[in-house]
Amino acid sequence: MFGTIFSVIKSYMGTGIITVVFLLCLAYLAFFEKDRVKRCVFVYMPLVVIVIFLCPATYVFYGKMSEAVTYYRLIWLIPVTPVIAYACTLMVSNAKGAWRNLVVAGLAVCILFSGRLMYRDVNMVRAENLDHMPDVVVDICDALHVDGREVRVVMPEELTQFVRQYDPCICLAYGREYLMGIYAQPDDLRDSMIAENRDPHEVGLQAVWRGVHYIVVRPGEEFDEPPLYYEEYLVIDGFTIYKNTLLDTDV
Amino acid sequence: MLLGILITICLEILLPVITGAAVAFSLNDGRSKSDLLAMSYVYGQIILFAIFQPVFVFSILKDFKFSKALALFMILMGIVLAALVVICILKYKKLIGTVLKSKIEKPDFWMIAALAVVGIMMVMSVVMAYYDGDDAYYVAAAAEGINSDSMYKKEPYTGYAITSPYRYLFAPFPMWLAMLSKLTGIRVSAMAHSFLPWSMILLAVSVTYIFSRYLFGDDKKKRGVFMFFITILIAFGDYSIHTPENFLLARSRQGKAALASFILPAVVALIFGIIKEYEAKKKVNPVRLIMLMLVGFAGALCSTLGGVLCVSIVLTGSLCMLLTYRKIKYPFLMAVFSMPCLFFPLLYFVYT
Repeated sequence: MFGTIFSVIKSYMGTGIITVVFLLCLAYLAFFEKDRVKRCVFVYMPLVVIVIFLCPATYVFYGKMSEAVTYYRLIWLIPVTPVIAYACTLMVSNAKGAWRNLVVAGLAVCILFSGRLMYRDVNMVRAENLDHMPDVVVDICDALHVDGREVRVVMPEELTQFVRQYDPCICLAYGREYLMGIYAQPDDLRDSMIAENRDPHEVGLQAVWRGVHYIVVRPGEEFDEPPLYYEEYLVIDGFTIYKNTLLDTDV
Repeated sequence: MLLGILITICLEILLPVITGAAVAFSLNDGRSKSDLLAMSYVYGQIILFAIFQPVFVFSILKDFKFSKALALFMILMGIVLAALVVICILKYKKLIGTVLKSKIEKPDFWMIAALAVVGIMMVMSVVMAYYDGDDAYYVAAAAEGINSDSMYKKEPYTGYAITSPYRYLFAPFPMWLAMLSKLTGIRVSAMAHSFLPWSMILLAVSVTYIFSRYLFGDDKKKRGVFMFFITILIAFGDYSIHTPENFLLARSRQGKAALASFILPAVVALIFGIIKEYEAKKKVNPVRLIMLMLVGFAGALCSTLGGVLCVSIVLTGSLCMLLTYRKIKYPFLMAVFSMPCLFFPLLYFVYT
């Protein structure tokens, strides 16, 4: 049980430097902060939360109430950032004039190196538009949108998460749950789409049966011949779109 | 679009500030323009969230259309807003005049640096994108709400009829997003990714500004340094994907981001205010206890477990206060006032 709790802590604290900084700041406040109110909020409360968090009974109780994978959210109850900032401010408060500015800058640099700049995260990219999704999604959705009705589409899986954020009139045959794995149900259409030797006949039959109006495939993954009951309709930014010849998309 | 942006500013800044002004004046925690502005903003947003939550959960359970729920919320909000404005004018007329006439205090060098970092974070929230899979549920649920004028009837991932809506419907933060989008005319995805994040950043920073007031009083220099450290810690808070700072800067359109970076710190700030006032006067303004109740509702709006987390931190604060002062009255009242928000997680367990 402790192992699981510590693995939660480990995945939360990254390199662990900020956690060490926080614990040092907490110890500093425990020794030097004399104000009862500040001690109560910035020393006792974090300590109580840490004890509760480390208690195996809490983990078991939390697991019964919610998903154990979100146990890290209990750490949100600790005001980590205000505690570090307050302790650092107290540390520099005795310095005067230029020294003070120098110490503040020095501590800020330490914080800078102990954390990581959010904008250097691998998932952070330059926005292509105000909707914060790849332009290709916007182009495909705009091309497939029909005023006043919904259409159903098979999309490449990496684009599924964006489509219905941008245009809820475009429904998907299968969505983001397959990227998450744990929530997904078996799906014959998806299986036929991701099969190594994709069969256009099988894909066409499955897609028609599911009422799919359009099938979108990635550049370089076009069908040798269009799926059964589908015809090549458009190519947008390299993505080929096949249209159902049996279902109409009129209002 | 320009009109939409103006309405966004009104809804995300002006409305909360006007709503929370009466609370900020009544708590008497600070008399400077910046303090009152930060407090009004934070308390006003809490009140807005707290009214939104029961109205929308009730509407969802009653199968109301989204537009009907929105109308209900606006009527109720209109009444509350009018009452708060009347109270503010009648009770604090002189004070408002004095505050409006007072000059904005010259900020310390480090406060200017902190403001610069906040400005950079706000700009980056528009020009940088973070692709998070969870948006496929939350943002799409909001978009579907407007599109079909219904709430949680369709699976956001695909658009098929929903099979089990109960996991999310007791924390309808996506409907808040839908409301902003509907009232401004800005598409949900643009609202979620480009126009909501900066107000969340401002809210999170405003809460820490309240902390700075409680910690350092009128000492501008220390407050400036504190705020600078805070903003640096937020900007460099990506040491893992679970931190409140990561949620704030990367996924601020999700309810859990609002919970981690705004609501829970606001609960701690309220507890701080209660203990501070008790230490000074041996009694506590009942408005603080009411705000403690409302912030629990706001937490429940953000996440199904939000109410439980709010109550947990209040109980922790109550325990620490009890051990420090050996008096039961206010720790007990804090615990009691925090409890009503547990109604929503309770509903969740009843339905699932």
